[in-house]
Amino acid sequence: MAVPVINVIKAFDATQGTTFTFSYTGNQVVGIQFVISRADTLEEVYRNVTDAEFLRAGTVPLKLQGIIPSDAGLENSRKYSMKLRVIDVYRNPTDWSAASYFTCYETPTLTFKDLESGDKIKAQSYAATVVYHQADNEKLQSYWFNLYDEALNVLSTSKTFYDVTEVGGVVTLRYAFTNLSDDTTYYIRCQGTTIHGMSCDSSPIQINVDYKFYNDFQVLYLSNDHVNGRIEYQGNFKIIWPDEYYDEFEYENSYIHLEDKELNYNRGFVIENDFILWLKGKVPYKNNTFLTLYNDAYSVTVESVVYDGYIKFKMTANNGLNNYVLYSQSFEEFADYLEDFVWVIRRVGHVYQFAVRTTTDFLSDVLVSYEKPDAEYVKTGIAWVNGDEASVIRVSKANIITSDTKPNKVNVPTIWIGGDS
Amino acid sequence: MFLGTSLVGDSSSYTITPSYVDNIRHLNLARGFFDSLTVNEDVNKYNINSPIPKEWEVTTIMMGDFDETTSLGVLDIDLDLVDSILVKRRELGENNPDHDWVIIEYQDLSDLSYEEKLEAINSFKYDTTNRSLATYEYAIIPLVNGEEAITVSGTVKSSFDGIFILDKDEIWGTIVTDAFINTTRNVEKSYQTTLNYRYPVSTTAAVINYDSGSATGEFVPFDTETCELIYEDKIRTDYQKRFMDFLTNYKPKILKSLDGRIWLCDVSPSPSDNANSIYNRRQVTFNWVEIGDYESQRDTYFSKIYDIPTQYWED
Repeated sequence: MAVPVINVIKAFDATQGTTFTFSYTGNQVVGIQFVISRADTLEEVYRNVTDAEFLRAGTVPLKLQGIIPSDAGLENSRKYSMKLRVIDVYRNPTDWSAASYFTCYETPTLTFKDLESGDKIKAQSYAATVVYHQADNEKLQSYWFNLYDEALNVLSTSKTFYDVTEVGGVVTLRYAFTNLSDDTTYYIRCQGTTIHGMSCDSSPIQINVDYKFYNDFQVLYLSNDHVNGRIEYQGNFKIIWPDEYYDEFEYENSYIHLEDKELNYNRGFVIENDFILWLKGKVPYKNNTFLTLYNDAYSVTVESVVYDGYIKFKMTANNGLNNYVLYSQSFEEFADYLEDFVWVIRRVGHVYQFAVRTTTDFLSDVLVSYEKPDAEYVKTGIAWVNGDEASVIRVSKANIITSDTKPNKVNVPTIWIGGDS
Repeated sequence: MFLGTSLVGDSSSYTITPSYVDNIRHLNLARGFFDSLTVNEDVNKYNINSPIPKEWEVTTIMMGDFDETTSLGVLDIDLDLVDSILVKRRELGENNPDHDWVIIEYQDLSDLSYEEKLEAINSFKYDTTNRSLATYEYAIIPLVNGEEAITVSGTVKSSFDGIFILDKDEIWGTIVTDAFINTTRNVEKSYQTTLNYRYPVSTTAAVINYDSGSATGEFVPFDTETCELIYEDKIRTDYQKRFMDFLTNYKPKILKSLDGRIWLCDVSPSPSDNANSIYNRRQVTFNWVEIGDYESQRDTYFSKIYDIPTQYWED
């Protein structure tokens, strides 16, 4: 009488079980019995049905397959043998099949390195690095990559790679997803097969492609040269990092903590002449200089000045001969880092403006010039020094319009103007 | 009040030396919690009451939100790590359904200083291999360890007059209105007759399918200042001799026309220079054969149009 033949059982994770198939030529099969034993000790580990149950098999025709359940008592990292017999519709049991051997391994993993679902990709290609891991050192045989659209439709599949290299015990796989479109969500996935046929899968990982697309030429200048039949292009990259490494700092709620640290930007930019600057942040209720802009000789600084339960802010432009000083409105004492300010410095020619406001409210506005400013700047609360462009002018009440309380300290030859209007 | 009536030297006097500080190249920020910093040079657009701009502009000098970064630049890449740049181009629209890019420039920056790298990226360049009547997306892509760190791109519409022919080093054009290109589409088929069938059987030579043709035009110097053609004999003859030398330098070329046609081609022997009604109205005529796809990275590489290292090819 024919005996069944167990088809090759691929390695599987003992905690997940598997389905196997077998071949049999004979009458319709109505029952199967299989026994799994440890390959080294021949100790029986699992029997799907007892002999009696096997012989009492019903009359329902069965497929030529069996299921090894996840609770079969198998352990990963072990090799097992299995034999199988069947009973046909006429109640004739077969002899046991030849033993078939298989190994249980922990499910291998494929993990995208330095990538989390939903990460932003800033280029039109993404060089993926995937790390393969299998606890029992089961080797990876082949792998491939898929690119999906947002609805998980396959857009492309790479070729199947067989060149698995291991460096320092780590198997690293690399692949570049190219031609990604801007402002688009994709899913990427890596799948593979081990040398014993186990499947591994990274599962689809979402990436959001958001690279810099500019149409108004702020970063990439493009122009059609009609006469010479060519396209002109020019980068306008502004790459400005401080001397300090960004990882040295703490960030919280989009604020950088610089209580006892500082940022020094010394390359990648130049403020040639006129400018307007906005700085938003919080400072302690202390006397501190927290913003300094400078060239090789001179500087513009903003500092906090504390006095009598109040704080005000002082902007100083120093040219080596004079301090050009502007004071802000006064604010009542507050707990450290409680108030949120926006400091604004605007320079037009020889004229500086300095304003400090809370996040929502504009609180003060002081302007100083030796010429009368344009009408648009002359509003309530604006002060200016009136004079011509002579190197020296005599200052008197007649040629200055201002009102304020006096700061706590005035240095010669500092000119100070501040005010509540 | 502190204002008195004293002259210079008194504590209440004020020397009106200009107090502005120019060419600021350093910025120090310290002793606080900071949410954003923005500097813009457009003081006409922004006044002291203007809200903080949210977007980068041409006039933005620095801008940053300190959101897990200390970058105040438009690109938060570390230029010290950038070792090279690619410039890519792709045509938008139906002619390029797969949105394929062609790399038109590769530059190794690995041995350059920070400032030299920035200068190299921001230097003025041009692409002569553009097709007329097309819309292109161009992208500048800094590479870190050979991998694309970030993509910056924009679009531009391409159009021009006349005929241009170019190789890697030179571009020549004629904008006169009587320039033209005639073409022939070459495919190979043969026909065999059989003894028992009335009609011949056609046999197709697989993928052979290319253009050839002739181009004619007055390739004369053009004064860009006056926008006039120069027919002065000495200037014209020197110019046309150099043009004939270019046509016969055996280098593959790109031939393109104002109507949008473009070919990667080889100029076949032998170009001619003939008078058109009067002696100094010369018309140069040359024949050509298409030898590849002008948008193929491989074809343009082997034609020495672009010199892009093979590891960066995408096709």
